[in-house]
Amino acid sequence: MSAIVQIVFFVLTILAISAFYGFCRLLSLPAGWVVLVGSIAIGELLIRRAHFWRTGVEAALWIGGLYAFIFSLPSSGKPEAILVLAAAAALAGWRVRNAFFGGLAMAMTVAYLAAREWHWIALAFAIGVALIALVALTREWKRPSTEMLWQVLEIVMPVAGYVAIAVRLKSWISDVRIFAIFLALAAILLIVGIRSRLRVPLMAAIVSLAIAIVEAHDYMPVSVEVELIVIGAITLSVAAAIMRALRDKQQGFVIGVPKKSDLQDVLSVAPTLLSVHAADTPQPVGGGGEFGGAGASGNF
Amino acid sequence: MLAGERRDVVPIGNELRALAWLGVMLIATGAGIVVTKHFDQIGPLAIAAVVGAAAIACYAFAFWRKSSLRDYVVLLGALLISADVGFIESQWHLLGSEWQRHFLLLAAVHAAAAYYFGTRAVLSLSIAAFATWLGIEKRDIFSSETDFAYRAFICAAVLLIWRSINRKTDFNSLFEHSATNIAFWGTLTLTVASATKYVGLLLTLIVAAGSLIYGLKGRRELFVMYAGVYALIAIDMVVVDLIHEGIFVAFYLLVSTIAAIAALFAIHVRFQNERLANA
Repeated sequence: MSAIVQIVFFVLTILAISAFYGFCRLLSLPAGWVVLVGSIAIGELLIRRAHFWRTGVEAALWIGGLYAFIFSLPSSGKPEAILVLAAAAALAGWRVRNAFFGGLAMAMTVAYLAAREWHWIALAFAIGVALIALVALTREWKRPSTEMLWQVLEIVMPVAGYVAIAVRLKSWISDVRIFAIFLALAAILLIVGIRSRLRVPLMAAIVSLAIAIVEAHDYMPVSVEVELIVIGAITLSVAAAIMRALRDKQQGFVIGVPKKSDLQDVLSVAPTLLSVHAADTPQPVGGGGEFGGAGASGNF
Repeated sequence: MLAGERRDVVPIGNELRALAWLGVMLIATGAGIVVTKHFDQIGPLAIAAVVGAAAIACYAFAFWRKSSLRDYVVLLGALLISADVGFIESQWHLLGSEWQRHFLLLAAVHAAAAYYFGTRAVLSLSIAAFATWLGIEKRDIFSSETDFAYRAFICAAVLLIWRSINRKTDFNSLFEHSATNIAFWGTLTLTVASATKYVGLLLTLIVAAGSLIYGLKGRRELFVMYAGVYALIAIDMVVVDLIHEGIFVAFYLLVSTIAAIAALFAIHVRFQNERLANA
């Protein structure tokens, strides 16, 4: 099933669960319990009897049921609540073999450590998980969902770790230690990615490198806009150079044929939908909006 | 074993294209900030000239060099032209009270570039510019409450006509998705307005029927999804407006959403079976 169809079914099922929750609340029933039992029972029935798998429906039923139950509990306001949400995501992820729920669970664990103000531990934990995922990716896995989980963790964990450490200070000041950590992580990911011919560590290396560059903002001798232009030009040049180098390659890293996906079609419509909505904006009298338009617009 | 075999040939073209796209976006964002932050120091004429020259350089590069990243260089050129034309218009008001027509100009320029270089991303900019122009064009017929809906229908109709005369098959899906979504947004706008909610519902159902038939005939599942989801939203809006009791609203939403999931899933299974039979 294509990703976009799964997303549609997931969202519709979450809406149905929300309506069911509201209905139970209005009937003065214990909504959390009823939705938990009802959702998971239906989810299991669909998985076992109707062989629902990777449809988005069973995943929504599992995570929606668990989260509805958790949100129905009286709030204590303690950070441990994040761990409960993480555990629910992990449980749902394990049952429906959903890598994104697994990634969410680990990201929430990092968020818990940050909420306890253990920012450096949170960063260390995130980097540790990213390195474990890197080692795991160099191995072969029977289940594609397990491999997918490691791939998601490889991408998500550096970002989660950086957010956890960045929120420790009220003002945003460059820290050479954080810069060095992410630069080193990017180097490790790049080396392993190239040596083991793995795509995801290469993507994670770019993410880590981007984080390192963002963290080094105070050390940059130029303004943000010049920085963006220079980094953009370097990125474009690197992509062009690699593409040129791989042009006739048949083995190892190759360019390959671009795949056309439904998701790409839907996403390419987004700027148009945003633009057509400009009709809702009052028209200015005697003069234009700010500069730009058609993808680079200001106010109009 | 599978992983071992897969690693003998590792395609990274999509990742490199994403990297190139990121580079283009960073440059365009940086250029946008330079224009807004520094035009007092550099001067508007210099900025307009430099950005324009950069855009022309991008197109010239794409014209002379057969680079694998030509599409992205063209996209960068298009983004810079958008920024430049908008900046020139905001500074010197060349079009006066018809300032919004610079979007139409951009739509034409981007369409020409998209067809010449065969770039979908630039065509997307052209459609966006056209939709923006239609969204803010001042005309008497666009003065009612249902203004947005009429504009959306006209935009969708123009895109469908454009689609019918289009000769680049790569571009077809972009026209179809844009026209369908814009038409649905128009019908939903009518459904939201209390005076036109029934007309809006009827039009939504008509467009949904069209999208459904097109999706079923052309084996395009997303159009079936559009039909189901937009029809569900319109029906829900009207029914919820009629039912005032919260408990019935919740029950109705539960039943209607489950019915929509079941119907869409049944169609999905049909598609899947056909795909398996053809495999």
